[in-house]
Amino acid sequence: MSRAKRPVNADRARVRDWAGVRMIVVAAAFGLCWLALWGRAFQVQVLMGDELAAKALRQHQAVEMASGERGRILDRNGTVLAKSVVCRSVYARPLEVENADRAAASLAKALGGSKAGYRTRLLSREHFVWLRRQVGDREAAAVADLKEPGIHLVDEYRRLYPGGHLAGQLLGFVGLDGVGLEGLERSFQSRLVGLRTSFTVGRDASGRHLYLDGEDAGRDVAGTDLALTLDAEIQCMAERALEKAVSGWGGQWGGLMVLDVASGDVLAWAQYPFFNPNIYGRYAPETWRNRLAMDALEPGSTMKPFLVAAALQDGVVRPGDVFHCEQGEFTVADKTIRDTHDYGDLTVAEIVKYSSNIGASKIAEKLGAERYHAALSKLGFGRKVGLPLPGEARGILRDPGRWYPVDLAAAGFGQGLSATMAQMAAAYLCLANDGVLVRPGLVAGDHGRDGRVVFDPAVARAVMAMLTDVVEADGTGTQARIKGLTVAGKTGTAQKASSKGGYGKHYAASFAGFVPADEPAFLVICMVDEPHPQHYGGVVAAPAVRETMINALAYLGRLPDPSALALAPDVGSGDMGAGDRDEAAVEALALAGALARRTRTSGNGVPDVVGLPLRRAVEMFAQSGRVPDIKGHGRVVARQEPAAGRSWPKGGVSCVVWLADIENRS
Amino acid sequence: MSAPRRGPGWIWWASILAVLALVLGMAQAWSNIERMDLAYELGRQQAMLEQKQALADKLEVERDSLVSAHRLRVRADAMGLEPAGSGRIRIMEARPVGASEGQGS
Repeated sequence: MSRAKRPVNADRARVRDWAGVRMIVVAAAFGLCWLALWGRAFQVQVLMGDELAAKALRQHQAVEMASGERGRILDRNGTVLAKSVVCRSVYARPLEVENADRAAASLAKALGGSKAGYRTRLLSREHFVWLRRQVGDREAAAVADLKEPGIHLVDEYRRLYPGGHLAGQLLGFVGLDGVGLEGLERSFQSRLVGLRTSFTVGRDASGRHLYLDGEDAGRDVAGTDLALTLDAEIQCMAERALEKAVSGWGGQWGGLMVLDVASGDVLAWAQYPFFNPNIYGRYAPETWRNRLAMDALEPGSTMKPFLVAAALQDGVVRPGDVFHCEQGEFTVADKTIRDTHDYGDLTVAEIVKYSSNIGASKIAEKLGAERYHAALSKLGFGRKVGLPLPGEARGILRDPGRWYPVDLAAAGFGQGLSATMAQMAAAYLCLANDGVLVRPGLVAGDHGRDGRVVFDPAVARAVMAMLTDVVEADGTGTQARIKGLTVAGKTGTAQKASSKGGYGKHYAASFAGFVPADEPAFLVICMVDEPHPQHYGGVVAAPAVRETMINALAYLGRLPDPSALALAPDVGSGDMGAGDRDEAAVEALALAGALARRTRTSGNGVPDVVGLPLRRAVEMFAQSGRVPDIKGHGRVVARQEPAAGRSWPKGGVSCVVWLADIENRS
Repeated sequence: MSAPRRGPGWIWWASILAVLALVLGMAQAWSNIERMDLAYELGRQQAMLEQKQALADKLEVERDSLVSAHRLRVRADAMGLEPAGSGRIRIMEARPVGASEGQGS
C-alpha cells in the first residue's frame, strides 16, 4: 500500500528527463552549423566575393580579338581597284611537332617548296614560325587534311587588285602584315586599315566560344573605303596608248595623265612599264616608283605657254609682237641656243606654234627673271602639288637672283628647271580654267578650284588660241588632231642633263593637249623618256594623247556625230587629205538629198532611208523599234523594203535595206 | 480565449508556391539549355556566314578581274574588235516604240 502511495515527484526526480538537453544540444549543433555556413557564405560572398567573381568570369568568358577588313579602293564609278579577302596562312609550333621529317615531307607536297627548308623551320627552337603566308584555298585545305601535330592554319587578309597592273604605281601595295607600303595604300593607311578590337564572349567547358550576347561581335571594325577620281576605263585607255608610245619608240618609261579641266579630277594616271601590285615582290623597286609625282624632269618646250602667259599678263609682249629668231642659232653668254628650223621673224603666237627656243629665250629676257619666276611660283612650280602621295617631289625652281642670263634664256624654253608631270598638269589646268588655279586631285572631294587668279581670262584665252594653232594650224602638234574637233596643245622635246655635266644626247618627249580647244573639257598630258630614233614630242607623245582623247571621248559619248560632221559647213579639219574631204563631201551630199526627201515622207509609216548612210538608217529604224536586215555591201542605203511611207509590217515580217557604194536612186 | 483556428488554406498555398518554384526552376534550367544550344547554333551559323562571305568576296574579285578593262580589251583585240572611232558611234534617243511610230522621221 505504502508503495502505491509513493509520491509521483519523487519518481521524476530519480528518472532524469534528457529530452530537453538533447533538444538543446541538437539545436546548438544546428545553430553552429548554420552559423558556420553563414560565416562561410559571408567569407565567399563578401570577403572573397570580387576575387571569386573574377575567377568565375575568367572561366566562363573569353576575350576574342578581331581585326577589321581593310577598306576597298574604288574608282569614280564604283569599280573595285583594291579589295582585301580572307585567306589562310600556315604556321608551326615546333615544340608540338612530333615528327619533323614526316611533317616537312607532307608540307612540301601540299605547299610546294623544299622539304629541307620546312624541316629546318620545324626543328627550330622558336615557339612560332611561319611556314607559308597567304596560301590559296586549295593549299590550305591540303594542309588542313595533313592533321600534323604542331602545324596550324590562321586566317589573314590578303590584298588583291582585280585590275592587275591598272594604276599599279598609283595604288601602291600592302605588305603581308596589312600595312600599306607604297602609293595610295601607304598614304591612306590610317583611313583604309580596319580597327583592331577585342570583345568578350562566353566559353564552355571545352573552351569553345559562345556568342550569347552578340552585341560586341556585331561592331563594325572594317576600314573605310577610298573613292578615287580615277575612271578605270579611261585609265585603261591611257595605259594602252602609253604602252604603244613607249614601247613603240623604245623609251625608258613614260607617263600619261587625263584630267577633267573644270574639277581637276584626275581620270587617269598611267605609267609604263606597268607594275602589278598583286605580285609586287617580282618587280624591282624602281618599277613601283610613282614617277609622275616623284620624278622631276626638265619639261622643255611645254613650259613656253607659261612664259608667254606671264609676258602677256605683265604687258611685256602682245601676241602680234615680232621677235627675230636669228635663223636658228643664237648665242647667249657663250652658250648657243638652237631651233629645229632656221626661223627669221616670228610673232609671239608663232613662237609658240613653231616652238622656237630662240624666240622664247628673247621673250624671257624681256620679261625678266623676277617676273618669270613669280609667275612660275604662282603656278605651283617649285613646291608640291599636294597630292596624297608619298615622296611627291617639289621640282627645282631656283631663286631668280641666282639666274644668269643663260639660265633665264634656258628657263624660257623649259630647261634649267624641273617639274613633275603632276606640276605640269596643274599649271596647264590653270591656263584652261581662264587663269584660275585648280588643284588636281585623286580623291573625290578633297580638291578643286583654288580660287587664286594667276592670269587674266583674256591672257589665258589668248594663250589657248596659240595652243590651238599648235595643233590645228601648221604647228608642231599636228599629229594630235581629231577630225570634227578642235584640239589645243603644246609639244615638248627636252634635252636631258648628262651625268657627266651639260646635256647629253637623250631627250624627254612630251605633249600636253586639251579637247575641245574652245571649251576645254579634258587635259591629257603625256611624257616619254628617252625615245629613239625619234625624240620629238609632236611625233612620240602627241599620237598617244590623240588616241587617249578619241577613246575617252568615244567612251563618254562625246565624239562628234558623223552626220552632223558631214553637214557641218567646214567639213573636217585642216589636216584632212583630199580623199577624206571627198568622202565627207559625198556623204554630205547624199545625206542632204535624203533629208530633203525624208521631209516628204508620211509621218506614220516607214521612214525614207534611201541615200542615207547605213548607221543613220539603222538609227531611224531603231527609233521606231525596228532592226532592219542588211543586205549587200557599201556605205549608203540603195533600196529599202517596205518602201517609204508604207505602214510598218506586222507578224514578224522584217524590214530590209540594201547597201551600195553610191546612191542609185534618181 | 482560444487561438484562432487555422484552416488548411495556407497549406494549399504553400504547396502551390512550392510547385511553382519547382516549375520555375525547371523552366530556367530548360531555357538555359536552350540558350546554350542557340549559342552553339549561332556560332556555327556565324562561321558559315563568314566562310560564305569570304568565298563571295573571292568570287567578286575573280569576276572583277575577269571583266577588268585590260583583260576585256585583250579579248577584244583577239576577236578583231577595236575601239569605236570618230563617226562610228550613234547615240540613240530612248523613246517608247508606240510614240515614235507616229512621228515618222
